[in-house]
This record gives sequence, structure tokens and C-alpha cells, in this order.
Amino acid sequence: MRSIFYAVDFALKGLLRQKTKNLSIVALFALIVFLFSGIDFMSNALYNETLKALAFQPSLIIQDVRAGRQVPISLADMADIAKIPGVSSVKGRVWGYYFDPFTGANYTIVGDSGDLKELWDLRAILPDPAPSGAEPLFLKNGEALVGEGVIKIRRTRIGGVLNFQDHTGRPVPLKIRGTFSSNVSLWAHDLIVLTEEDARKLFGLDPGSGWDIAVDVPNEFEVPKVGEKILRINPGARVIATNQLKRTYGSSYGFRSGVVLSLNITCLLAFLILAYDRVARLSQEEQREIAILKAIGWQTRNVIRLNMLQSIILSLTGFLVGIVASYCHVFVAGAPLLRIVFAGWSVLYPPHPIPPSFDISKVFGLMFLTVVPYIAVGILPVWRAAVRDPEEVFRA
Amino acid sequence: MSIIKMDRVTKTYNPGKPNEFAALSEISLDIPSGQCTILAGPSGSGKTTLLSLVGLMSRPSSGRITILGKETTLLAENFRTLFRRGHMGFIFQHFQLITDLTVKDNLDLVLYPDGRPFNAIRERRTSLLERFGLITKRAEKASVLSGGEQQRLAIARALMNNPEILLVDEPTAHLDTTLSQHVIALFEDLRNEGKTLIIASHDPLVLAGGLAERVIHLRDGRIIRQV
Amino acid sequence: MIWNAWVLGLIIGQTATAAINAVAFANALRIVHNWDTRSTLPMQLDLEHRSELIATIVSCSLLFQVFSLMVFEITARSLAPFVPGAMCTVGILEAQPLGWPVLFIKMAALFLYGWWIVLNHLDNQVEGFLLTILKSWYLIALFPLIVIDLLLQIAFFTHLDPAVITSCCGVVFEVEGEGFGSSVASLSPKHTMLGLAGLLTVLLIFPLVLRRRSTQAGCIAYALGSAAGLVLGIAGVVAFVAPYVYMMPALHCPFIFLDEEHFNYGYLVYLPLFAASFLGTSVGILVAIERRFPFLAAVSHTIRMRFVWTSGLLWAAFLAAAYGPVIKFLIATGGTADLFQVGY
Repeated sequence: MRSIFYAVDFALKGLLRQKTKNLSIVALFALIVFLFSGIDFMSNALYNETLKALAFQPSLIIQDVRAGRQVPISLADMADIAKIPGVSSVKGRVWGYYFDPFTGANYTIVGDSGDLKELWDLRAILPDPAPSGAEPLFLKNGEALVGEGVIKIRRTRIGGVLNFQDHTGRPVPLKIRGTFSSNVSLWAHDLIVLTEEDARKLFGLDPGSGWDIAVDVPNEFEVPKVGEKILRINPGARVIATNQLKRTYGSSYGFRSGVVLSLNITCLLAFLILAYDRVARLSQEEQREIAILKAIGWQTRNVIRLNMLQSIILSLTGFLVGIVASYCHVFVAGAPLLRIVFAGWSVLYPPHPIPPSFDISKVFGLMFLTVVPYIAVGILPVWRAAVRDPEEVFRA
Repeated sequence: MSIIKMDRVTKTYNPGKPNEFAALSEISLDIPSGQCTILAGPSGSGKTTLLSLVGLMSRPSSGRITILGKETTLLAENFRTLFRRGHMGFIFQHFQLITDLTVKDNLDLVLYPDGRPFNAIRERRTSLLERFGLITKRAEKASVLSGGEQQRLAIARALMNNPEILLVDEPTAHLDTTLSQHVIALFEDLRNEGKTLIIASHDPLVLAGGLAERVIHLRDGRIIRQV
Repeated sequence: MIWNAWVLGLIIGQTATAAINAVAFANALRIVHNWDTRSTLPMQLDLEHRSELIATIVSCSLLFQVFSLMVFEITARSLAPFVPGAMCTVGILEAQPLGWPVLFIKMAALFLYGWWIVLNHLDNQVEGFLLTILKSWYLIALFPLIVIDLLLQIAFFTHLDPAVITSCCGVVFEVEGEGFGSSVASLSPKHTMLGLAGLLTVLLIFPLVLRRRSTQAGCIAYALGSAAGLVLGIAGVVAFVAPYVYMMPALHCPFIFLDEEHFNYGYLVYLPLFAASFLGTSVGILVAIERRFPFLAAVSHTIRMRFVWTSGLLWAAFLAAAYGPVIKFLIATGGTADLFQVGY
């Protein structure tokens, strides 16, 4: 035990003697870890955000399609769908996007017919006293709950008025009654919740139709069967299972990060070659030192252990620096260097700041990816240097 | 009582290759305990090779070497090193200090692999530093020491593990006459303490003094004369 | 096929491990062919050096393999949301016939590397390289396992199909259900609890007895007991430790409590269990070596007594970790309630 302590002490002294060389290795290592972990932090955070958004989604969404494009769906089939065994609720939804010509931004508009209670739980600020649970409809016509992004881009505040136009160009003034809490910032960023009536007015939808139909199926395993039966009722419809969506998003993020990481492998390889070089091409001085240690009674395995310890210390330091830097970059600075990789989803875009999500167990995974190859690469050269006869080195 | 016994020891470098070269041939020697033996001869005569064989730093190509009653010829490298650590101290021609390290660290690292208690290491180090007048320099880097100080540090390092046998290679090669005489006096003290010394040197100063009980003259890898 | 950071990390790390093992394998072959302790030729010295290289590689491999096992579990857990029906590690392992084999190979590799290091440690203490040939053959035999580990792992991830519905821990470890996992989960919690406590008590008392009077037969008994301790320990985790950790009598999953939600409690249970059974079984291997090589007996004896002692302590740690949640539950309920009857 004590000899390990001495070895660590001596290893540190050895590393400190060659500050520039070792610092550059730590820096390079940190850079590699920075690249790898940044992507993982990012995809993880985005995926978590997406999950939060999907948590409010129904099990199935039914859309009507004409000529391959989505059109408003007739709500006439709702009663039939509600009769399918396993279905707990069916509702027609009125929602869509609104292009704001003043700011050039797109907002997501959701019409609330009193059944979007989940959304109410998310409000952050509401000037009126919080309504009791007995009152089902909280929004009155002409009022809206507005995401923070919209408030910011329109330079307004809670209690202010948004002036929108309906599809015929008539003005629709909306009073901002509240906004959403920050833990759903990703998907509530551009969200505006109106009464269903206001939403219909804005979109020009007639009362007999909605944009889509949401179907709830409590048992996940019954979802595919229910989907089939809906198709029998309305063969032209498009039925989307949201748990499928969850997986699609998940593997899409996973895939994106995987692709970027695979590109990073080149960096890793280049770094490993450098690392190999560090241990493989020992200077005369370093070889002499090893020879001295052996001559005064260090066994080969003591020398190997010393070198391995130095590799471990270097790589762990680099690893720590890299992961801390990456954490700050993604969660404090909002990942300015990585946003571009994950942009490209029209509806989802990285929020700012990204809500921190950190899983310590994943650190082990990253270590396996970086520290293990680094140490493995060093074994052969370290051994080769350690077994040279001291006499032979002194002679040279 | 002989402490080191060599029996028809031959050392050939690069055997079987065009540059094959016999550094020592058929050396048989008995070195008694507690005496100072000097290996004399011009450079290239095999003095250093002989020292490194006795110091178990290399293996003979043939023949047997018995040290402290232990047959070492076929000993594995691990155990050779262990044996060296337990019984022998080496003082190299070019001191071979780790010059980037402090005086203190140069001494301590001899005892690191044993994992001895820190206090034991410190005690041993302090007493040696005092003895060799280096105590004030203990936190300095070895590279800033003068030649004489470096030599004394090298001797102190060889004594850290309290060895029975001291192997010394050209101790005065880099020192002027005064310093050389001082170092020779140190070796006399060590011999008087009962250490077995084997010194390789062709410096007349070393040969002349009363240090050596025995002088072995080597030339071209053979013993030509013993005094 | 599923492709994310962890799959990539696992494959790269495992490839690195296999690569250094290939080096060790080649050197072991060389040693087996040319080893001659009576030779003074440079070749023999070279081989000695190579055996040092092998020892370094195996030590690193053990470390890597520990990582690999943990990362594999974490990866499987992180993939659970992408495979329908999977909610934790079990779901992913079930999704593909190679899942469980990969896990078991990784666990086996830990023990096999560990035993090799024990042999090496012993061999390094005694002059004469008595075990070098044995160690080399051992490594030659071990190499295919590492390659299979890598290949199966790659096959596992590339054939993992997000469209195939799998069953998760609720089904695999279902009480009264079918299959091996279910039969373990259906073990009576009370009897398992008593049985495991009994075995652990024996394993705790044994070191005390062996310290007084150490016999080879006693040590072999201890080794067998330790092997049984591993099996019964895992059975105990499924049968009662896990439900008590989750406070749910029907949830027997031996993986979920490794995650952060349960404060990584699983590691606290598994680490002492594996370490204790590893050291315990090593004692048996040392005895077997002593019988073949009486020359090593004295040194081996010191080593194995230290192992017996340490593994005894580790069994105590496992006992505490496994029964902690049970005791916590009893204290919380005043000792009157039974988790499996109240049905929390």
C-alpha cells in the first residue's frame, strides 16, 4: 500500500518535471473529451426535453390527408373511435402555426377547450389569483398563455396585448395572461394557448372539424390494435403512435450524436498516435532515468507501474478538465459551438440555456471511450523501455 | 570467507553476430568479505563489464557467479534486482543521478519499491546527508551540485539500502586531486566499517593509497596479474 | 441496429482490450514454445521480459473488463427507451438472444483475469518460474473468450432491432412466471433470506476457524462455500434484496437499483459480493496449485490466509448491504409488517 503511495508521489514529481510536454497532453486529451462529451450532453438534454414535450401527447394522433398533405379532419368519427375497446378518451384538437409578419417568426397556436389542464400546471406567472380546481375553464376569449420566446420577440410583458390577424386579415387582439415555467422551455418556447373559439377564428376552422384527433389508450400494448381499428373506420387517415415518435426522436438524437462521434474517432486516432509517440520515443534522458531506477533496485514491474500511473494521472486530469469545460460550454454557455449540429428540426431547436442533465454513470462510458485506448496504446512502449538492461543504456 | 565467487565467467556481447565481442573470458575470482578489491586496467579491459556482472546488472554468457552463497547465474531478472536491492550498492562512473530531482528525492527513491515507512526512509536519508555534508543542500536539485557533491550524493545513494557490497566504477574520473583524495578517504572509512568494496579504476591515486588490499589487473577481458 | 455514444465507446474500448490481449496471446505462445529456465541465451531473458509484458496487459485488461461490464450495463439501460417493451437493462438483454451471454462472458472474464493475477502474484514471490508455463497456457485459453466477448458484443448491438417488442424485468423476473429468472424470483423470500444468512454466517465464521487451524481441505470448503455464496447471493438479490430496495414486492429486477434514482445502491451490493466470492474461490485455486507445486506451499499459504481474511470482511460487507434495506423496512414498520404480504 505504502509503495503505491510512493509510486504516485514519484509519478507526480516526474510529470511536473516536464511541464510543457505533459500539459500539452492534458490539453489535447481534454479537447478530445470536450468534443465527445459535449455532443452527448447536448443530445441527452434535447432528448429529455423532447420526452417532456411528448409526455403531454396522447397515445395516438389521427390526421386527415389529401394529396399527401395534411388537411383539417372531420370530427364526425369521434364517437365511433371512442367505442373501440381500450380507448379512454378522444378529442378533436385545434392547433397550428401562426406566421407573424412583424417579427418574421412562427408561433405554435393551441386552442384550449378546457381540457388542457396539464398546460395550466405549467404556468409560471398569472396575474389573477390561482383558480381553484373546481373551475374547468380558465382562459376567457381574448386571453392567451404565451411562451417566453414570443414575449421576448414581441417585446411585451404579461398583461400586454398581442395583435394578431385572422386568415381574412381581421385583427384579433389577445391579452397575455401568463407564461410557462422554464422546465418545459424547449417546447413551450414559441407556444401560444388560446381558447378553442379564438383559435378557430384565427385559423378559419369550422366547428365541425379540427386539425387532428387525439386518442388516449392507457395500455401501451393495445396501441397498435387500436390504430388498426381506427384505420378501418377511416381508411384515408394517417395514424401516428406517439411512443413510436419518442423512439424516433431518441434514435435520431442518438444517431446524430453517433455520427458526429464517429467523425471524432479520427481525432481520437490522431491523438492516440501522438500519445503513442510520447511513450514510444523516449529521450536519452528518460531512458537513462529508467536505467538508473533499475540499477538502484527498481524491478521492471515497478518501472512499468510508475509509467502506467503517469499515464493514468495524465489521462484522468485531461478527462476531468475536458468534462468540466464541456459541461460549462453546453449548460452554462448554451453550446455555441455545437448548436449547428442539432439544428435542422423545424419544430425543435436548442433552447437557451439548455437545462442541465448530467448522468454520472455516463462518465464511466466516456472514460471507456477515451482513457482505455490511451492507456492501452502506452503499454507496449512502456514495457519496451522498462525491460532494457541498465548496463546497455549506460553503455550507449 | 569469500563473499563473491566467479567460476570461469565469460561475457560475450552480440553472440553469433558479425560484431560479436568477448568482453570477459574465463574469469575465475574469489573476493573475500570486508576487503577492498581494485580492478585495474586500461579502458576497454573489461572492468565495467565485470562490475555489472557482479552487480547482477547483466548475465554471464557462461560460467557461474555465486554471491553471499547464492548461485545467481540462472536467477530471474526480478530476483536479481531484488537481490541487488537487498545486498549491493552501485556507484557509477558518471554518478548517474537524476539531475532534475532534489538531493532528497534522489536518495528516497532507492527505498520506494520496498514501501518502507516514511519515517524510516527519512531517518536513513538524514543520517547519510549529515555524514556526507549534504544536509544543507537536501532541497536543491542534483544538477546544481558541484562535482564533489555529486560524487558524495552518489555514494550516499549507494548506501541508502545499507548494502554489504559496494561496487564502484571510476570514482575519481571526474574529480581533481584534492577531491579525489577526499573520496578515497571516504572509501577507506567504509571499508573499515566492514563493507566489501570493489572499485574499478585506472587512477594511480586510487591504486597508490593504502585503500586496496588486492589489485586485479585486467587486459582484453582476462586477468593478467593479481597483487 | 442502434448507434449512439455508448455503443461506440463500448466497441472502441473493447477493441482496445482485445488488441492488447492479442499481443499477450502472441507472447504467451512464444513463451510456451521456447521456454527454458536453464538457458543463459539472450532468448530466455527476452522471454522473461515478455512474461512481464503479459502480466502488465492482464492487469490492465482486468481493469478494462471491470469498466466494460459497468459500461455495458449502463449502455443497455440507456437504450431501453428505444426498444418497445424495454424499461431497463433486462429489456435490452432480452431483446436479442446474445444479450445475456455477453453479460455472463463479461462477468466470467473478470474472474478469469483475476485468478490469473493471483497466480502471477504467487509466481512472482518464488524464484524459479514454476508457474510461467501454466500461466501462459491459461492466457492462451483465455484469449478466445475475449475475442468472443468483442464479437458477440458487436453482433448484439448491430442486431438490436428497435422494431422488435421485448419483455422486461416485470416478465422475466415475474413471480409464478415461466423461465429461469421467474423461478429465481419465485423463491420464497423468507427462506432465501434465512438460507443466505446461514451461508454468510458460515462464511464469516470460517476465516476465524481457518486462522486457528488452516488445512487445505478447509480452504477448499471455503472456496466452494464462496462459489455457492455468489450463486445464492445473486438469487437473494432477485428474491428479496431488490423488492426491499424498491419497496415493491413484485419488482425483482436486479438492475434497476444500479441507477441514480436508487442512489446506485446496487453497486454497494454487487461489489462486495463479487470481490468476496472472487477472493474466496481464489483460495481454492491456490490450494490446487500447492498440491501440484509443493515448493510454493509456504508462500501460497500466506497469500491464501490473507485472502480468506479479506473475503470474510467482504462477506460481512455484503451481508450488511443485502440485509440493510430489509432491516430498514422492519424498523420503519416496527417489525410487524411483511413486505410480501402487506403488498405495499
